Amino acid sequence: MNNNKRSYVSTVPKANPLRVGFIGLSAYKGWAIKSHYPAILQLPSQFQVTALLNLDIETSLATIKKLKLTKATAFSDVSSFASYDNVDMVVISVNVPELFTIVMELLENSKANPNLKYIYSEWSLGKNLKEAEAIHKAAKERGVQTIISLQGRKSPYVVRAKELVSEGCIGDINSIEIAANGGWYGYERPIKSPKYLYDAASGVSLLSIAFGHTIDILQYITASYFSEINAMIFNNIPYQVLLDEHGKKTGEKAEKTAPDHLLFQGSLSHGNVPVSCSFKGGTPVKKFSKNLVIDIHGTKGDLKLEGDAGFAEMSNLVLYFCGLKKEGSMNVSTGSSGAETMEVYHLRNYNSVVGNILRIYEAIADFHFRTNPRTKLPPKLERQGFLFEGFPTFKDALIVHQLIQRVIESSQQKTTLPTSFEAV
Amino acid sequence: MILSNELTSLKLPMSVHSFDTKGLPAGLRPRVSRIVNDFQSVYGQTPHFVSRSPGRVNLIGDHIDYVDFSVLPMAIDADLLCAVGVLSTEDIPSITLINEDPKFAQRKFDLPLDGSDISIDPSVSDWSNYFKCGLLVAQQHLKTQFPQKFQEAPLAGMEMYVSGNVPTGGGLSSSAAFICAVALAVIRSNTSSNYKVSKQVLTQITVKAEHYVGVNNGGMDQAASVCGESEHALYVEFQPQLKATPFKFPELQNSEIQFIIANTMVVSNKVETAPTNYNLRVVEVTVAANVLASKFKVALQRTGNLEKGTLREFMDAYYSRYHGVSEPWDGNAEDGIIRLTEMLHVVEKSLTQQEGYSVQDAATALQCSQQEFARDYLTNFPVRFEALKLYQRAKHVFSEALRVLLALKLLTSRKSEGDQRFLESFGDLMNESQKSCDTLYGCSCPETDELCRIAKANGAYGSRLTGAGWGGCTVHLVTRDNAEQVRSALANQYYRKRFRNMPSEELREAVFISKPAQGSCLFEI
Repeated sequence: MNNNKRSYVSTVPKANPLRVGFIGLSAYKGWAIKSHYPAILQLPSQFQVTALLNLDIETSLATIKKLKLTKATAFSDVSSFASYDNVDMVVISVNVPELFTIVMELLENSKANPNLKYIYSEWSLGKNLKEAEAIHKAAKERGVQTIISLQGRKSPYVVRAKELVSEGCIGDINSIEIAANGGWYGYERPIKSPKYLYDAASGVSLLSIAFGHTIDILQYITASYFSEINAMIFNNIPYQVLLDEHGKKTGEKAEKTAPDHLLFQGSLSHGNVPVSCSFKGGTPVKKFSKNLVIDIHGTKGDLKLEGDAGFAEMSNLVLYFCGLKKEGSMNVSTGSSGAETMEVYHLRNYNSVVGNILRIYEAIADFHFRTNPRTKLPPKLERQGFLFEGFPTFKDALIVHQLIQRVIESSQQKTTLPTSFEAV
Repeated sequence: MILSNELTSLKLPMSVHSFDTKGLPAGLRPRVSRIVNDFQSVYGQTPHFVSRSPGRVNLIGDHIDYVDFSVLPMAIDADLLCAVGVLSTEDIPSITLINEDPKFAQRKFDLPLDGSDISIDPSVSDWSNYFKCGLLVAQQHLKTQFPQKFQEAPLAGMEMYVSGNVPTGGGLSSSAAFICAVALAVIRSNTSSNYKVSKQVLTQITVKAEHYVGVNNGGMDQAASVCGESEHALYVEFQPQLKATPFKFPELQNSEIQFIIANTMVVSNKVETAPTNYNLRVVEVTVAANVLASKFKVALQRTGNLEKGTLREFMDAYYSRYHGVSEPWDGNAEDGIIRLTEMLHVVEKSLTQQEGYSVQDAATALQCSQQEFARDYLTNFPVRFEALKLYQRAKHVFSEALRVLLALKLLTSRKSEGDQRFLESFGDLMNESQKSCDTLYGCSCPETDELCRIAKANGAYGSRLTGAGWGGCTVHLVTRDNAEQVRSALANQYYRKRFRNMPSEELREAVFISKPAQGSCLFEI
């Protein structure tokens, strides 16, 4: 658990802070103001917002004023933003359907900015595998370090689970079950909810959000990709009832082409482990079980992650573990010999919306400023893979996109398909 | 909280003392002037004030504060100083923290402009988390006191330089000293030098601050750090109300009572080991209280650190049902001694599984499912265990609470019974407490046992661990006449053996004699 001791790790580097250009930070709405902004506030000597790009310049100017971002310049178009050389790192937090065009234009025009070193994008990386591949390729050619917000990898619960698995505390993994919830894809939806969320072609769906984040977390915990998979995608709710601001039914209906259920099964390449998943679209939520369950059964113990909200990457979870005591690990209150160790890990006051994103920024800062003397990371991180250290990159994102593509194909072809990512 | 003067003839002040340059106590002058200089050299200007809060040593009554039983600590000379420069209104108010000790790297963070709470990540061990605890509780207090000013606006930015000589992880409560000094500094920074900070308020708001970093502690450390008085130990009660009562040690005819504090040098970080040590004990005593309640068919209220009832509450419920005593115990020593003695019989008869209780055993005893048990008792803070030792933990708590009452009677009774008799009686209570911590509570360690053995063999009347245990410091009852003999025996037989090249300055910090010290205070520059 040494990666939890941070008192000696400097967060005030001798060098200047990384200058951050932000696409899609608005003081008035969106995800970035709830997560990225409070995270950056906690690391002002490592990150400083110097440029802001929104759909209209007024939003940027108003945001600069409201958040007192005195060092920031407002931009109204991608090309001038991209060539602004007072930026070391670009953070992109825009709606996924717009992402591809913006990132490609950004990468192209950023050649005029010799200082650009990092691009940090929200998951998912475009609408589909094709866009993700193109973005990954363009970023590689541009030679920047990429970061993707698969922030579930930084959840303390996921890290703790990964520690227990990697230390052999549950022995070999025998089988895994997952149940999750997509939130918006049930029988009802808020009237103000953006339409693209419900359009199968937008690429933002139960598959990309709930499945993408959760399955990435599973692969990260178990340190294994899948070797073969089989999936069935459902759209049993083609029309949803619209709800007003107070959650009351308006009587109106709206079309939905995005999936409302996913059945997924597969085997992990390491150990041929059976994995069985059921992703529910949304409301009504389950009455007799948790909306998020990752249940891992091993030869020497069990490990279970539970959450009330369906999204593992941004909710406060509970970790249950029962199994083998690791020799030489943290001393445990001893009982009779041969007794199992029980562990329950829950952090009551942990703010997981800000916290997991903050930990990605901390990892970027540790990487850039080499503030952690124990680091073993290479100067350039092609992909995080299954390392504790570092952060997920576009390459890690691409692997999840490839898996999602296989899921779609399996469902369409009604067949089990091989998947191989070890070689990528 | 109540600060009571009932056991002392002096009229003690109710608010935190604020000194100006002239009134500075002589003993503190060199350290205050040094930290002012250090602040000046890192920030390039003079600080506005220095806030100070001492460490504490608990004489007797360990691991019972979170069960609401009374304790006997005193503030010590070792303390924590924060030199502070308050920043005038700027773009985004920010906090900069620099620590004299290079183990604690520099920190800087901005405060949310809308006055919302900063978030604390309890999954990592980071010294700035303790600062944030103090900041958070002070901010919440300021919001209730001055809602118009602080409800939707940020606090003032601060530059802080921290210097402490309370050993960290030493069981002398460096964390509470830091949190109390920070909370005091934040209130002072956002009010004025004329604003009187009440000791009662400062204790009340800091008591649970450490819960934000994931330690489910009681309120002893904060009460001692804030309410300490020179020449006085404190009797701290948690029920029926949080109350600190300073009292002087009885005067010996031929000598003077002194305490030696000796550090095992085994660092015990409460946060880092909480799942198997500190927080696990809190869970065990809570489960024990509920298993007893279930066996004796009495109901507990939702009090205590897990909001599931405490062993003290079980005692009240038991007395209400089986002895027809409708009022909870009010703290009266004679009544307490009778009831605690009966509780020890109850534990002996009822918690028979001496090898420990598995989750299954505990759930069965509480007539609930294993899932319900896990949800109700194990999800408040991370815990890790093989078996829950309900018998041993409950026995320790009741017997230790009993020893505190006996010690209080000894210390406050005016009748003189001869120096030797008094020292031996008090010393015996300390020795029994150490034995109980070791064998029943499992919070001692070989180094602690070794220090206690050496001290006792060389004239200490009583020797025990202090604070949470699992390393940290020990405390030894001596007189002015034999203090040097005990101190040098410890130096020769423990420190010089284990740490051959220990510089004499470090040795002076590892084993020292402390008098009861003054609690939190401010120095205006």
